[in-house]
Formats: sequence, C-alpha cells, structure tokens
Amino acid sequence: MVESFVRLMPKQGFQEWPSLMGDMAELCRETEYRLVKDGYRKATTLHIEDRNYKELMERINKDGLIYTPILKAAYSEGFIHEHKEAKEGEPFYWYGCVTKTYKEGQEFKKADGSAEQKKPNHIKLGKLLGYPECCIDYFNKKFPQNWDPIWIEKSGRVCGYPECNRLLRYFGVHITWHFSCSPVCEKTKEEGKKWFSVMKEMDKELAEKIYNLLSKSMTWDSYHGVVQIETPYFVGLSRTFPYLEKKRVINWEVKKK
Amino acid sequence: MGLLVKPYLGCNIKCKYCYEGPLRNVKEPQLDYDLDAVVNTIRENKKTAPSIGLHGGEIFCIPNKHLEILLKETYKYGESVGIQTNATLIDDEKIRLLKKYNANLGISWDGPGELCSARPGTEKVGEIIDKVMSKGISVGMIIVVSEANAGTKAKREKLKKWVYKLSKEKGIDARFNPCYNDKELELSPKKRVSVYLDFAKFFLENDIRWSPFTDIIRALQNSKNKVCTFSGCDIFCTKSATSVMGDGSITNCMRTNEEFILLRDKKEYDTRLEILRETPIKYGGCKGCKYLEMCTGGCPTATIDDDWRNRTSWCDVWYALFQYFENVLKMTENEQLYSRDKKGDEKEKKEIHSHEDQTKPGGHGDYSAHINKLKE
Repeated sequence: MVESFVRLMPKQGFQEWPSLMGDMAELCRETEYRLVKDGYRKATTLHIEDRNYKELMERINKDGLIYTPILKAAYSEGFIHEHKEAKEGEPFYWYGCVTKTYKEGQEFKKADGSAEQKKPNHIKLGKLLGYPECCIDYFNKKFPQNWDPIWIEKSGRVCGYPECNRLLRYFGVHITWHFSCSPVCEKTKEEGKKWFSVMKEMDKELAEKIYNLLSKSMTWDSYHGVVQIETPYFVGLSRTFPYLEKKRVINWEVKKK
Repeated sequence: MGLLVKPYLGCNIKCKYCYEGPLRNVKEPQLDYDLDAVVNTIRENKKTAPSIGLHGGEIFCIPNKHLEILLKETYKYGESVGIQTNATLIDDEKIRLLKKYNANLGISWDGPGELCSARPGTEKVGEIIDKVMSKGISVGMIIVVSEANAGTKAKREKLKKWVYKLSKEKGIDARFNPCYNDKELELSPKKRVSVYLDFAKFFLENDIRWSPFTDIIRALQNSKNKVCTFSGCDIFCTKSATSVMGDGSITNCMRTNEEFILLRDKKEYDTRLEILRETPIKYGGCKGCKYLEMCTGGCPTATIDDDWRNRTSWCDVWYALFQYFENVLKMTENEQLYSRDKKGDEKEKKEIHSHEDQTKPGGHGDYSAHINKLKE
C-alpha cells in the first residue's frame, strides 16, 4: 500500500485553485463544528495538533462544548482511513470528538473503539454524527469490503446530486460529511440543504463556489491504490483503497432537475 | 532541474509522432506569449536550474527580435544556452545570433533521405548541420527511432551508417529516443526487441556512447547520472524538466500534457515507484523484477494502458537491454565496458569519469543541446 498523501495541481489559467480549495475545506470544517454547536447533530470529530491546541481548546470551552480525546495518533500526510497510535517521540495529533455533553463524548469514544483497539460500532457512530440511516447502513456493510466506499458498485457515467458528491473528500471539500448510499440519496440531499444553509451564513460566496464545483463534471479514477480526480480546474491525487486488477472510474455529472 | 523555455508550442513541420501534437489538436498555438512574464520566470528559477534551454514547439518560429531577448537574458548568467530545434528555419541571421550569444544546438532529425520521412520538410537539415558546425556552433542531436527510419533491415543499415558518420566523422553525440507517440510509426512490439538489441550490439562494437544505451549501463552501475526515463520520474513534478510556458507559468515535461497543461507540483513524490514495487507484473507493476530500481518502471508517459500507475509499455525492450548490458558487464568483470584496446584502458577510464559526474542526475530525454558541450 502506498504512503498516505494528497496532491492538487491546477490547470494552466487556474493557478488560484489550490489556495481556493484550502479556503473551501476550512469552511467545510467550520460548518461541521457549527452544526454541533447549534445542536443540529450530537458529535463531530476533531484533530488537534500541538500548534493549535490552545486556540481550539479555548474556543471549545467558550462555546460550551466538550472535547473528548480518543487517541494520540501518528501524524500522516493526506487522507487516511484509520488512526494509528503514535509511538514515543513520533509526531502526533489528538484524534477526538466534540459534543454538547460529556455523556455523548464518552458514547462516541466507546463506539469509536480506537482507544481500546476494538472494532468501531459504525451504526452508533453514524447516529451520533447525525447521518441518514440508509447511509449508515450502507457504510456499515461496505466499509469492511472497501475502506473508501464511494458507491462501490458503480462505475462509468454516474449522475447525482451535488449534496451527495464525495469525490473531493480527500481535499476536505463537500457539502455533507458522510458517504451517501447512492448518488441520488434523497435523505442526503435533505441533510445537505441544512448544511449548505449554515455554510452560506458563514460565507455565501465561498459556499456557492463549493456547490458549483461539486456540480461540475469530474472524473474519479481509482487504480493501484491511488485515486486521480480531474475537475475543470485541477487534478488531485490521494491514496485510496487499492484496485489491483482493474481500475474503477466514475464520470460524475450532476443530475438535471 | 533543467529549465526548458517554451514560449511558443507551435511548429512549422508538425511531425506526426510529436508528443505535443495532442495539445496542438486541442488548441492551435498562437504567437501570443508574454515575454516579460517568461523572462521573470527564468529569473526566479535560474538559481535552482543547472541548465537552461530554449525549446518549443519550434523556437525558431518566434521573431528574431524576441529570440534575441531570450538569448540575451540567458547569456547574462554566464553559461551557454542550448536550443532544441528542427533546424529547418536556421538562416544566416539566426547563426549570427547563435554565435553572438554562444548558443549551442540540439537538433532533432531522424536521418537523411527516406530516413526522415516522418519529419516532412527536413530534407536539407544535413546541410544545415554542416553549415552551423563549420561556424563553430556545437551540435547535439535527438534521433527518434521509428518505423520510418528503422522499420526494415535496409533502413536500419542506412541508419547505422549515418549514426557512424555522425559519431565518428563529425563527433556528434545524440539521444537515440524511441518513438512512442504514434501507433503507426512506433516500432511494433514484435520487432522492437530484436531491433534494439541489434542497435545495442552495433553501438557497443563501434564504441558509440549514446543514450539510452549509456544510460542503461550507468543504471546498472547504480549511477544517478542517467536519462529521465530511468530516474524514477514523478509525472506531476518532472525533475529533469521544468518547462516555462508562454504566460510565464511552470509545468512539467511536455509529454505529461495532452489535453490541457497541468501546472507543476512543487514537491516531488515517489508514489509511482511505491506502486510498481508492490504491484505484480501481471497487473502492470514490477514486483519482483530485478531491474526495477535501475529502470524505475520507465517513462511514466509511455505506459501500459496510458496510465502512469502502470510500468512502461516498453518493458520488453528495456528489460532485454538491461539483460544484454548486464551480461556484457559480467563478461568484462566491471572493466571499462567500451575499452577493447588494452593500451587505452586507463586513459579511457579517466576520460569517462572526468566527463560524467556519477552522482548528479542525468539529462532530459527531449533535450540534446548540451550533450556535446559536456564533452568539452
């Protein structure tokens, strides 16, 4: 398996996109936090590094939320599907969750299992994270087969809602945070409306840019453990689940109303 | 990293096998470059670039006054500039500029007569080579080996005679690059191994030290000084070529850009080698291949199913050549490979090691202007 990494290269004439994607990812992270703060969902995960520990903990305290540290995780570049405990002296970050109450934080920690090296309870985690039941069920069944379960039975032309588009997840850009069970999952679309409205409250222009990007045709091409995503503006790469014998390609198009 | 300045991607001859052809098909290049932006990018990147070359498209398509601005800019850095060209547009005024700015030429040509049939309009390049050399301008060459100049035994014999003449009579060094951009002109998989082995034997017997054969020997000897093809090239950060576009932006080797130009990543990764090390041969990888760390899976733009995550589609040829030269090296028990005259052994060894820094990365496969300079 290749080392975890993520890369993003703009096409000529679109030099601003790496920086813009960084801004978009930041807005997506803020939205996730805000939805817990506003009581729309019970929990969200949060990585805290040494460099931002003070700032984040003060903010969490100020917002009356609880941070439950789960694992002192080994640092890695880019997208990962599991957290590994950092060895003595290794660079690390804290993997944990933000909740409204101590009880919910402990429930999340128990369901996550990584602190005790137990298998995660995806159903319980999905409920705490506020995901639709159909998508929790999908993830629970598919994750053991493929740890990057983007509609794993689908390839070729795939039409769906921008709210369901998780093809840019490696770069932190998406409207909803879960793997939708289908590119046309109505529950995800409904959830997405709420998420998108919160995003717009924080930064209307940037939120609309995210929506427009997720609505664009793009190609997701997964082979030999590396996924290559081409959008009209850039090409991005990340480590992913390794398709060894044959590549899987999704040609994404937004479903017309 | 070599800086290849490519203000204009258009060309006056447009060879069918040109790797910039697909990009030209998407959008016909215009002479709309921004010279100030190009010059600024040269200045910003000069410090980290060991060499600088004017490239194309065909660089001599741009007006002489613009050419002079670029030559003047590069000349300021105190080293000669290299120019890769098809040579068809070289006239007295261009020769004057080349002399004035101490430029040297890399000429792309596939041979005289019928040998250059894949490069229409280049029939008189032989005369031009003689002319520029008579003016004291250094010439290196790129010869693309294809059906057009090596498809039959008769053509191969003609090609060998010409190669011998270039090397032994004119003292020209060249890259003997395979054509892998056009299915009709590319040597067929059935014959290419035997053709390349035949050429390898010819080069060895005649003591002609050209790429890729010399690069394979260096790779077998764990030298880093080898052509980009065998240097573990990252397709998104091609260390042998930093290409400066007409708008001043920076991209990779142009072989990596087909439908659009993708800008260069600042950081280099070993992801392709990681994939190839772990992927079995039957699935497009190199797992277990004894030559992998030397060959590095070949050029990532010439791969099985055109996917950089696979090994080179020319694996059969490279494997056969690695095997051939490994056997030669074993037979000579690591004596200097080319030295058959025992009296000349020590002298030749010294010469080779003084010319080639084995610890430095080698050159870019599509640039030959500096090849002869390295010998001086």
